[in-house]
Amino acid sequence: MNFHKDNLEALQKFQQMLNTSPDQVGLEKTPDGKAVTLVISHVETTLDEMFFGHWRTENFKWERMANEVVGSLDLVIIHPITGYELRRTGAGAIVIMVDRVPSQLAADPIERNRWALNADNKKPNALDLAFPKLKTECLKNAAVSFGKLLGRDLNRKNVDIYKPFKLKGTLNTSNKDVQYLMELIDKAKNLDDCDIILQACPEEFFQQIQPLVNVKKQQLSTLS
Amino acid sequence: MEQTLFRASQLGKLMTDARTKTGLSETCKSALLDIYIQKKYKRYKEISNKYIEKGLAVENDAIDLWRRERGAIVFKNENNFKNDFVSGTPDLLIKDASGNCINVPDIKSSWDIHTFIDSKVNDLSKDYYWQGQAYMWLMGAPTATFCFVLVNAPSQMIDDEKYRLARRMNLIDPQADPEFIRKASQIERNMIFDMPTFLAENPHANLESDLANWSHDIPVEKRIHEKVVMFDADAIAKLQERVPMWREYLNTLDH
Repeated sequence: MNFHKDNLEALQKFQQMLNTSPDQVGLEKTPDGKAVTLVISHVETTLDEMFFGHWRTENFKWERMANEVVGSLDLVIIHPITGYELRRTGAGAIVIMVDRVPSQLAADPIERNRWALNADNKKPNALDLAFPKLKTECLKNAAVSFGKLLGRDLNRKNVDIYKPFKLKGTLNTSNKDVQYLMELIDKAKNLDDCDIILQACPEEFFQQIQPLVNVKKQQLSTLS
Repeated sequence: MEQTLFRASQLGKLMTDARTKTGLSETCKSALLDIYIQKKYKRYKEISNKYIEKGLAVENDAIDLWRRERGAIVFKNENNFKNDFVSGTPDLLIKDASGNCINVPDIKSSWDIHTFIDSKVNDLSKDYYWQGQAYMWLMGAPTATFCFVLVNAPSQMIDDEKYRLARRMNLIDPQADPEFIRKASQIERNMIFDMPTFLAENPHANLESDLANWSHDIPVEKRIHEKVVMFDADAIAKLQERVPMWREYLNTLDH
């Protein structure tokens, strides 16, 4: 990797993309209703999109601890700009579901816990769905470290914002200018309006804007 | 130091009259000393405070708000203009159909509603007056407009203020302290004037205010006011008289 300004710019732009808000459609409340999570389909699809399908998981490890199974895995991606492999570890845990605690034990916390820890009380298919969920949780946990787009900072109060460096001549452009130009083009009522926009257009955006103004001119000419 | 050009933003200090009416004022000498050091040693005096920081951070927001509100098709000027005496980079240039500059708007972002109203009820500062004269002189424009705009502070600045508050209150978990929440909400109210825009630009903002009951926005038209300065040939003549004196003083510093 050659750290030329253009490469840094590309890296920063990629980091900016990773640090945009996650797709709101992919956000759901957790089962307890206390937090929000990015559902696995969106995590996996976003990984596909951002890393062009070049991601995989490795080293999925698990261990039973009391009535829970804890696990971890490595999420490995190929960075699309540098070509380097990056590895992030994710961790998670699931509870082994047991039958409902009998009512005569429910009031006693110690007995209730004993019931939960007794494998005899395990639901026959407790891990059928829960074990794959552990892998999902580990993957989601690993993915969040790549950026907000993958769920970082969901449920966090104090969050930092990715602030790219200003690389001279590259990122120091004002998107507000482009937005304003687009709005002006949209609102233009006649050819004079179009010419005024082109006259005022900053040089740096001229190549982008001129074709749009020309299309608008054609539309206005057709209407008249 | 013979051909030193003086920046428009420095002229207010440089044009300060001496109390005795003889020679240069102390304010002027001090400004010239800074200019000398900049030119001779390429060292710049670091002047920064939260007011300046906000002005720089929200410059584009302020320009955008002003031009939309005034219907001006204008974009930030990046060109530096100079003549034999002064130089400057006006924020905006308004030209007529033949390309002549007819107005030089300069955007001033106010820190809060207090400084905004203060700028409205009080006369334009001497610094701004001379800045405007220099811009008009450079551009051949008859008017300069100082546009005072009140826009939201950047999210990071609001967080900084709240962080300082938490440190002052010696709190480890400030969100658990009702007094912190009250004061932090006040900070947010002092620094945010358009909550929908703020939230659109900072969807993950960490706010303490009760957004469901937020009713503190100030309408756009109440967040913009202007002060117009007319070109004054006499003022420019006075400035032209002083420039050789400033250059002479800079030469004495060089010995």
